[in-house]
Amino acid sequence: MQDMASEILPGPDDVILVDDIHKTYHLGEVSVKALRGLSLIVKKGDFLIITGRNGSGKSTLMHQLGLLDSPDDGRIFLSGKEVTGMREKERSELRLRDLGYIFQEFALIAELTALENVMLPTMMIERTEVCREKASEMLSLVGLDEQATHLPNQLSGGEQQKVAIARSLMNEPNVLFADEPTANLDLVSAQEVLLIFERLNKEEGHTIVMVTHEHEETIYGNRIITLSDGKIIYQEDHV
Amino acid sequence: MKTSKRIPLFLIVRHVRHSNKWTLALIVFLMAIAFINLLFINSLFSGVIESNQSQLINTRTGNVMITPAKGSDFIDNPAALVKQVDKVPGVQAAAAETLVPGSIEFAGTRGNFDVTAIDPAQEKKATTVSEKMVTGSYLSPGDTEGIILGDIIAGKKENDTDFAPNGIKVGDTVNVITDSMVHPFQVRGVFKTKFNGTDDRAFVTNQGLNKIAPALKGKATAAIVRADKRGNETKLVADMKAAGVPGTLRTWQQLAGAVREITSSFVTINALMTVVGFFIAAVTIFIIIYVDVTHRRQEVGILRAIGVRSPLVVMTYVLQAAVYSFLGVALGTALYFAILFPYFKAFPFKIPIGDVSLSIIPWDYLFRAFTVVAVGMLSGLIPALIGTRRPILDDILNR
Repeated sequence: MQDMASEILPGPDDVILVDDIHKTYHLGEVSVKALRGLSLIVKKGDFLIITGRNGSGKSTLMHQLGLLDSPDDGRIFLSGKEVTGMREKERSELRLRDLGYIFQEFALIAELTALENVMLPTMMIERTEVCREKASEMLSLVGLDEQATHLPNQLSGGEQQKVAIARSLMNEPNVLFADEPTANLDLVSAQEVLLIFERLNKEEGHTIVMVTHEHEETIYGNRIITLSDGKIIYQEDHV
Repeated sequence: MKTSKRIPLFLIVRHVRHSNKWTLALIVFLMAIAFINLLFINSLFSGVIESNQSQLINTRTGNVMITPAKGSDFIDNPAALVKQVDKVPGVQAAAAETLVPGSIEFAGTRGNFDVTAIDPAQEKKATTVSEKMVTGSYLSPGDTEGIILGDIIAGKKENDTDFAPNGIKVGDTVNVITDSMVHPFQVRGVFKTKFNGTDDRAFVTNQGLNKIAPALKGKATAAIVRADKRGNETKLVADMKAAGVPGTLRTWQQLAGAVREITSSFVTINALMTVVGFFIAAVTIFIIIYVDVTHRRQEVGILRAIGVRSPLVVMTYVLQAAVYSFLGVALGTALYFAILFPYFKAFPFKIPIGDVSLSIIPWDYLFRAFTVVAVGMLSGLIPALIGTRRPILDDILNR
């Protein structure tokens, strides 16, 4: 973890640079400050775990990093490009090519089979046959060769999350975001999913940012930050 | 096809293949009902108009009517005229008629009804009156004593006529009064075309006319001409004129009069009902598609989250709505032409002005089909646009 006080431009190894971001939600007349001047850097190959209690701002931070939301103030750089203030078309392109996002609720399309769900992001870029071939490889990677033709409702929660992981890997993103990916899974499935992340990080070199509120899951990361009231209150490098 | 453009098609095919079949069937069925509703109202009014116009042509004026040339009261040598007209291409049949001003007396009551003299054989080919006999029989050629009466003259209690409140039956004798001369005729039959302009007529044969007005022998007051097909009347008139047919030639449209007024009233009502029908169909289709697309907000969010650009997401739902609409139109068309149309052809609505079956003009059908698809696409467009303008997280988290 680096101090952001003086550094405002990303270095060559910085996949993510967050500079003093603020985010406030307005719920009727009530304003909730979810992020208060948060800064951080994620380097290539990092497996960053973000923890914190409910309402600490970890999911809000994740949404800003995953370009699903925009901060009110501050700057975010992804793969060297400043994304704050980017037009939606460019953000969409970045989500497609540079980011992989894994949701707590899996976010699979109900009418597509596992293989088709995985193919979907690459269909924007490649021919169908290439997509199919690549999607099969990704399903193999997460151990779901046999379930390729299953619809999401024919898969267990763990299997659905593995499909979501395979989908997030399709366009070889620079960074994978996983927002409480094990929250809806049983222990065994959660373990399998975490081992996949570990393998992707250690063997394939993927940069991963994962939010969790399970303390025992922090051992999978090489870095941990803990949020409270929208600020980093604790940081630790494991390795 | 550009790679990204395949996404909408890919999603639509999968959606149709894997979505709940009952839900899909219900959506398509509702779209079909909305389309049929739109088609049915128009067909019914078109049917009424068509029925009215057909009755005028079939029982009264033919497609073209020939009347004496200006300055003449009669067509001289009508037999030669009919022969001449029959030879003109596009003519199916022609029949000369001689209208005798006068009145009819029955049971001491006199009514101002003109009598028309005809050649039954010619008239059978040129009009359908002979097929509309409700009692008795049509005139036989050479019948000098017989008369057939329209339902309005013969009367029935439901017609509430002052002339024959108890009705005139086959075999009764009526007196035809011309120039203060009384001529008894025996009623051979009563016809009912449901067209007032015909049902107030009485027919005798040309031989019968000789009995009451010998001076009119060999003269006619009009000749009606039936064409092979409807719609070419203007050309037919031109052809007849070119062939040297004498007299004043007018198409049924020019003679329409009251029918034109009725038709124009129905056209107006039809237009109003069509607007209302379009509105109802549009709202129905909009609700169906809007609910369906809104129901899949999360999917919109997921597609955007994985990097599918908003225009493609919108296109997906617009095309999907178009597919639903197209399927609805196809099902509606099948139900309409396989069930409704033949049913009402076999069992027409029996209304006072005639028997009405459904009639659809191809252009009207296409316009309505196009409208259903267009409204369907618009209904898909609006929620999809709203969806893609909302924050992605709101869609994904359904909040």
